[in-house]
Amino acid sequence: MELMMPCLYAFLACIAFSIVYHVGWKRIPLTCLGGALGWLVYLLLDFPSDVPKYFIATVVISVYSEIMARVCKVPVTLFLTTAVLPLVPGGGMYYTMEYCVRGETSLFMETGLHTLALAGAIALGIMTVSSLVRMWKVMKAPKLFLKKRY
Amino acid sequence: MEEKISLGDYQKLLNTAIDLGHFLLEAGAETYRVEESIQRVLYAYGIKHVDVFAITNSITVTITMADDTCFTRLRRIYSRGTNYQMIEDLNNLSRYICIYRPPVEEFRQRLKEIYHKKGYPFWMMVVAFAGVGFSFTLFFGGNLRDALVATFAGALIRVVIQGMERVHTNGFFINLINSLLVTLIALLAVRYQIADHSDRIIIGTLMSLVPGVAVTNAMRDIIAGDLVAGTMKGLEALLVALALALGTGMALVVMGGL
Repeated sequence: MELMMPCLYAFLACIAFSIVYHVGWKRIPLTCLGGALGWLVYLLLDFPSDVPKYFIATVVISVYSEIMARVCKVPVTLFLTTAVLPLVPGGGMYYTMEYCVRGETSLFMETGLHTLALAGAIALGIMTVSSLVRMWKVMKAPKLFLKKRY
Repeated sequence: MEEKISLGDYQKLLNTAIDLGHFLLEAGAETYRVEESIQRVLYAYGIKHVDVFAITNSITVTITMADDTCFTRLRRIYSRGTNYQMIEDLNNLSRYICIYRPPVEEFRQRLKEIYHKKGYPFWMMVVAFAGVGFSFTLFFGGNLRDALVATFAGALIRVVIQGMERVHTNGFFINLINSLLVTLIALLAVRYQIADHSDRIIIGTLMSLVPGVAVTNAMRDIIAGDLVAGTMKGLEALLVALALALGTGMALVVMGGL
């Protein structure tokens, strides 16, 4: 139950976000499944720090998105941007700002750096998978951009 | 298929292809997708060389024919949003064109159909914004009373955005005002004991304004080598985050001082 409820909320949030981003009806269930899956992975992992958990959850979401994009023949970003939203460290950003307003400098620095690390972990996760997929794509497809002039 | 295409047709083709890129960019596609779609479509019609340069707010295309005739077209793009349904449709269209190579007139007709396709209506967007507030407040640990306040605040910011976009307010100011509004609502709700956690309401509701798409696309652009477009999008995301922080901070200071 403790695992179920947050994943359900993540799923609901992704449904709402899919509509905000004008995702078509047919794609909404798969998109939201990605969001719930990412959060489930985050909750199941057991590390002392949040940062590797965020990284692995993002990698799982990215791989899921790449697979689903190929299955449904739609752009990867459709799944990726929506599914990764529950991981966005909104809370960290808010508390950083709140400590800043209150003038609690050490807490501000601590929370700010932690939030930045989380954002970095997400960025790194997306980057790793996207780069690998791109390498694979270039190996497979004819090189459109390197067409010879003469 | 070696039918002769006249010069006028080439211009029409170029215009239609740049329209495709324009709609893609307006719907929030990554820069490399825009460039690649235009290139693939034009190469499908047998043009010898296609050079495309796209950044977040302009596209330049030059096509060169076998006899060294060339045309250049520049398109400035002003508005940007996120519309994945449209990206998906345009993607399918360019795939269709690369395979079947229909006459330019048909290409243009299909493009027009996609452009005029209706997205979700306004009331549904309001419901979606309310839903984002509701579910993210619960997600971040708020209780049901918090979530209901967040639902109201979420619906309200969509209406405010609509009103401000009608008078062409810039994005920075829209985000500033909205985060200010949400924070005020949350703090007042807690003060009058309608809700219990102001922080969770604020975080949950403001999730709908967080620049998630901009950040993801910025990174994907940078990976693809489009550093200019990637940096622009990254900067945009940073400005949105800054506006949200400033708005919330202002409201906290004002309410704290009351």
